[in-house]
Amino acid sequence: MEMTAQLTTKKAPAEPADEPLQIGRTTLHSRLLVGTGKYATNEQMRDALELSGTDCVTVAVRRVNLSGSEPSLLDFVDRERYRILPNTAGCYDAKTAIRTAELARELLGTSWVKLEVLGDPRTLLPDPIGTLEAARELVAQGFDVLAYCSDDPRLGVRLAELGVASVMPAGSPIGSGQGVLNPNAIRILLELIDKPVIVDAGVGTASDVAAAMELGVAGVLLNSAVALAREPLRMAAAMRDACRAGRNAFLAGRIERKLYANASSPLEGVIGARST
Amino acid sequence: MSIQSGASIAIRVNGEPQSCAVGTSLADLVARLGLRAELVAVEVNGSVVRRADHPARRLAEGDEIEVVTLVGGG
Repeated sequence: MEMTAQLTTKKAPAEPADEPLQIGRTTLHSRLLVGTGKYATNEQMRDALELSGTDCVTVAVRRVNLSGSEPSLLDFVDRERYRILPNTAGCYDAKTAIRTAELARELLGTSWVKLEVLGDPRTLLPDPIGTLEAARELVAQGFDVLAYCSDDPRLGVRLAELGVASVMPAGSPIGSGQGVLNPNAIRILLELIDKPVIVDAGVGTASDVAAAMELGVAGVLLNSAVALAREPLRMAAAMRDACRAGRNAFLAGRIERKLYANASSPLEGVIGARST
Repeated sequence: MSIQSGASIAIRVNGEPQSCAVGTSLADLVARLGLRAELVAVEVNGSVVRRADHPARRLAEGDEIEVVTLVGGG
């Protein structure tokens, strides 16, 4: 009885605080960025975004349907609650990507963009030359550029030197669900640049997010892993927890890997031992 | 600005051929398409035309117009 009273009167210690994620001129309080594509319904998307805990969602820019009005995505994304990050997905050259970014700026009244310049529709791999070219122009125009790119650390350095707000290496191809295929490339990139690194693309499940965050990246951007999960809402919650878990584990500092065991319990004082 | 009755010009909207009366403004076109102006951005011949400039911008023969909005994406 006395012991119970003692345990319940003591308050739980506060979880150590984390700093917000600063990307260019934007401050985010969640390190998970979530896409708005591929959900079964707009209502499902809205609920999944809420459960993911994100405060930044990505959107695409497309031609309006001329043969009839459709509900707007913006009717389902509360701009008071979420920062909307437009992308240039689907652009295969720098010029189209720049035009798309300019249209997004006009649409949203914001000057940031997730820059994608892709190589071809089958692999959707980022085209490094086109990405550099477009990044240079958009930075000159005053955009905060979040540059989606391959996981080549040298390319990340070149983008950082151009003045992008964030370097966003693909963990693996878009929508492939293969996770982070080359964590060592991400580790090296993190040592080479000061800009926030956000793993973008390739996440399949929660452990991929946790593993990426444990590398020390500033955040993770995902879409398909939630939208196409059997239960998107449950997966959104899993991703929220994984992102926080991975971030906290990184900040806490993991123990070294050792070849041999190291007992957690004292080796002395085990019953049955006799002196001499 | 007076509109010459009957006179029309050929334009392209999102790649589709369309025609409109001489003197039609970009704002008129957006309204005719049944779009909420605050939910679209418009480009004419490769350059963005700011929303505030839509009423004053008259369409010209051969204009290539792109009208875009936001959709779900990653």
